[in-house]
Amino acid sequence: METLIYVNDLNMKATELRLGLPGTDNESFDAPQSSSSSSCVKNNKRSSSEMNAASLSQQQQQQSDAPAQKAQVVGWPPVRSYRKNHVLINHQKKSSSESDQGLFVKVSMDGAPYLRKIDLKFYNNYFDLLKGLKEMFMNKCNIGVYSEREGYNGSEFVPTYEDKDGDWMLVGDVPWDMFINSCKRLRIMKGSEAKGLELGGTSLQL
Amino acid sequence: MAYSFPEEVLEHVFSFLCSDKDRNAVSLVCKSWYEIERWCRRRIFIGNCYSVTPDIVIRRFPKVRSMEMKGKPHFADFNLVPEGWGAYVYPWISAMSVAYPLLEEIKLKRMVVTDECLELISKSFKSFKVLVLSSCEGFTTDGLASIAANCRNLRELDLKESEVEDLSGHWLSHFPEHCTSLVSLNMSCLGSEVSFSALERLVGRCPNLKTLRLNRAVPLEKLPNLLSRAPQLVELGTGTYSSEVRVDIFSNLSEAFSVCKQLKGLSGLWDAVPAYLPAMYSVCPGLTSLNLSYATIQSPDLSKLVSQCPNLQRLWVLDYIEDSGLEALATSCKDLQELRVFPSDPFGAEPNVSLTEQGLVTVSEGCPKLQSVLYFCRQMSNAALVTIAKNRPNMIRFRLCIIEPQAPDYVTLEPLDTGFGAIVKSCKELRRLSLSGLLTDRVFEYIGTHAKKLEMLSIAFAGDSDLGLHHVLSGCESLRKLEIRDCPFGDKALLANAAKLETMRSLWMSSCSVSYGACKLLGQKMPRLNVEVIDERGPPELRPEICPVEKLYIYRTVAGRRIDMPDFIWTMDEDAALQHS
Repeated sequence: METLIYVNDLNMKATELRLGLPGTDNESFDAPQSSSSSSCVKNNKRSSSEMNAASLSQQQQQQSDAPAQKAQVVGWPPVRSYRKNHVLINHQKKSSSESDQGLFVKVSMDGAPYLRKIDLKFYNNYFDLLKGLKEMFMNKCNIGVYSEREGYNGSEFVPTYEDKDGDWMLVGDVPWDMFINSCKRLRIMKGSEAKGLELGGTSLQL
Repeated sequence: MAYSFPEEVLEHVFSFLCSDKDRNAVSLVCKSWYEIERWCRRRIFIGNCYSVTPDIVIRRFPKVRSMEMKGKPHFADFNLVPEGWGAYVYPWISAMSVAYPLLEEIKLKRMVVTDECLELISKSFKSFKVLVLSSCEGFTTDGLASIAANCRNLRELDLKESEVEDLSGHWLSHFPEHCTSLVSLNMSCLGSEVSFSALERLVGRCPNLKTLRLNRAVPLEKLPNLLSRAPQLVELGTGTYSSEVRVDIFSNLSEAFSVCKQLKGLSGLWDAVPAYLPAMYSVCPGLTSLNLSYATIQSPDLSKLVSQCPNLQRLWVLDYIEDSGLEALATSCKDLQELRVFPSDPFGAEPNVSLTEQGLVTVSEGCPKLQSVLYFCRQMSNAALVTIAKNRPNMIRFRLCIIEPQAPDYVTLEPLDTGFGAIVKSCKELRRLSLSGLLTDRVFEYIGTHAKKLEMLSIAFAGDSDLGLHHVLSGCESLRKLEIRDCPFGDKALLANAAKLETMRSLWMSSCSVSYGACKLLGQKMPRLNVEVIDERGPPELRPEICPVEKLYIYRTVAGRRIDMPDFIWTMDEDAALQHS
């Protein structure tokens, strides 16, 4: 009986069904799709506490995070837990475990009249860091392309950093997380002095 | 007069039939063939552990030597299936320990396996050879110790991305010194460090070891010790691929790799440091499979690496490869069949890498054998999808994840219906499809009309109305698995296509608009389906019938309703009122 009605009724757009409990005022899904990810959070009446906690803490963090993070929908994007926990940039982990104070280090460039300071936490990877450095020094330093064999090729500027042991290291050799945890200050070296730090160079200092 | 071959002859003929489909067909010919076949079936595959009971299986197939089974729905991988849902393998192990003493192989996916199960396996099956636990959970390293200690002829132990409670690395030391039978060992999902000397000795005394996947805790400078003891390796998963940069480590590593002349597959590479990549160049020309999805190296190094691998058939990589790296891939790897690009920063609001739809288009142009794609990106256009469809009519698996839900064609701001429509129209052999982006009912019309070989479809944040679901259920003749989340699909399409559900393995719908009333109706009308409502808000009968359920899992079964359900799942059947415990 009821099945027949449904078979004939498939073209009816005006569905009686709404998501959420009756008596509430949520828009039905038949409304034209113009939602952003945040409205997905609003429209889906998911009562799972995991979801609410996640979205709440995202909203709190959003003000303080420099690279902004949007509200998370459960299970989206569809990335498996193992990848999430072990490989990926995890904004939540970063911002909840460390303070909001940033990781400011001095940056000196050979030939520049004064030093600068940057927040290493603002960057996600070496690519962003080098881009930031270039912009900061008004493109006066032309840092070449990094390769493991030759260091920074194609330029006379080489980014280096002082690590926890007080040694001057070439930027780019170690994984990003290891780098930001051990970098005390940055120095953009220039000219002949820079050559000595390249891998395979005669004055190998590691 | 009837004439037939003697039983032994038929049995011998049947022994050449490997696929379940063929064996099932043979069983239907006549009663005697059914009988002969069931006594000589050695391998069984159960795609849904709740579709049948251990007793039914054992009664029909008394002489099984290898069993493979899957448990939780696929969306469990993304935390959509609540903890405690089910898929316990213990009842199966328990029954088989009695019925199949000669069992040799157990392969499980998305099931709950306890230490008790592992111990029972290790003690019950004297010829046990192969244990594969893919995305399983519920056991600890103590369970692994039982397997290592008691399975005398263990050939394969593969823990493929399972969630193991890692109590310590001692389990590996439980392999007895006389164990020399290992062919494959995959412990990459474990966290703890194992005794390296025990590992070294184990590897050294197993001359048939072909696959070795280490965990992250194995340091890079120790890798040469293992490679030198197993130069016959075909598949290697390294441990961490990072170390302080030292010339001696590099040269040892390089030399060790150069001895591995059979190596075809490489994975692991956690924390890969560019300085050490050249050490593996000697094996690159022979590689057919490369998994760089745990390596956070950047595009220039990735490009250089893939360019060294002209025989690559399968590449898994993070989106650090960028469009430029994919261009290098398209140029160098003409045998590429499968590409998976994972997102390095899926939860960031802004793109962190320069990976766009162009990368995929380039690979589809340059790699004529490309048939399997999983691609995460942040922008897509209909034009790109149309081009990909035109380039690669041989596509079999196409899974696209545009990170922002309901993202439109970024050029025209239209839905991506046309693009995906082109895919299903052109790729006539398409078996698996995952959709994303802004999609209306129209894309489902295309899918229902053209995707006749489609077996698995994943839908999220798509469609306008029940018509969408109706197109899929009524049109996709080969559909076996359908999983849907956050779509405006409701009662009508489901009830109108109820019979279709019996031809499928399973249907998952979460955060859709299917009412409790419709679920009850479906459950009552379709006794051979289990219609399971998952709702963590409490019993659905306490809410009005038109209220949509949170999650719905429907599957065909000969086992009747589940008896091991947690308190947030309700089966809809004739006794719908009585079942809530």
